[in-house]
Amino acid sequence: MTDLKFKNKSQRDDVRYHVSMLSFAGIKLIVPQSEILSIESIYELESNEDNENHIGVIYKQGIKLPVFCFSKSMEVYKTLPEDRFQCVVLQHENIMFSLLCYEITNAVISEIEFHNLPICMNNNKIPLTHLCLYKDVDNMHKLGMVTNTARLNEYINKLK
Amino acid sequence: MKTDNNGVAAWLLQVDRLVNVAIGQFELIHIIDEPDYMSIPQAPDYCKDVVLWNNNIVPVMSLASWLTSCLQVDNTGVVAIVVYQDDQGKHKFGGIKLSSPPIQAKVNNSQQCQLTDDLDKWRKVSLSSFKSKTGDIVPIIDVSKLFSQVLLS
Repeated sequence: MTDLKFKNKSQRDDVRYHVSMLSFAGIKLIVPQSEILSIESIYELESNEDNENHIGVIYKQGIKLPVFCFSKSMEVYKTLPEDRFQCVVLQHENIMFSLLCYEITNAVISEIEFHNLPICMNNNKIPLTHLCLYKDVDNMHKLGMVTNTARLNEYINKLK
Repeated sequence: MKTDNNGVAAWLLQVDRLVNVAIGQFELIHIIDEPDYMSIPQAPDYCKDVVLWNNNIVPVMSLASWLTSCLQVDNTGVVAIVVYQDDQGKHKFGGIKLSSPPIQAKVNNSQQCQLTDDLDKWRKVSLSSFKSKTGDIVPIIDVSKLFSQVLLS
């Protein structure tokens, strides 16, 4: 089995990808499962008293991590919506932060086709690495939005 | 494009209540009614959606949003699927949101005219323009250009 590796061309693979699907505000981001460090309860969240873009902080392994909360269009929420129940901690190399989600599910996808973002919409602001086509459990084709910790971190840094 | 005495066959696409554009007869390949859009976060307002069509991921343009720089526009839910060639000569598909179903028309050389200043925005993506039978100036869209990066600049 293979972790999600992002490719720069459209391609259908027969390998199986371990992914996590982060759902919030009606969208679903597909990230490599290997980048999920942990899932924390929302009760661990300490609200943010600074005028920062993150909604609060959690402590993981003694480290204070910013927690971000996004709308459907990935705008920053500064007050907690009612539909966020889980706090996913993402890690890649020395990058670590947390996102509030409605739901986090793991999946193994065997048929997935990665596509670059259409050039007519790629304004370098989109917090995704690729779009994808995959087959769900009912063998139906689905569209997906693929990202990773590094790309999300790049997006978050531009918000500052 | 096929020509006869009446002119070249084209499709007229109503992209806003007051705006029609034209594309070649063979560039329009399908119409989708009320598609399931997937909105891409932080994409430009005029091209924020994609649809799944025949196992292709198709970006959908709202020319009405582009014209008015406004997200909320009066589209009916009809999307024209168009085909074009990209820079590498590969066939690609794009979607254009419409305000009403497309209409076939014939366009001949005598109808050719210049874009007026109020239609200046169309110069980026049009091949030419013509005057319709109702007297409106209709840009003829260069579909490859429309789905290139030209609107981002």
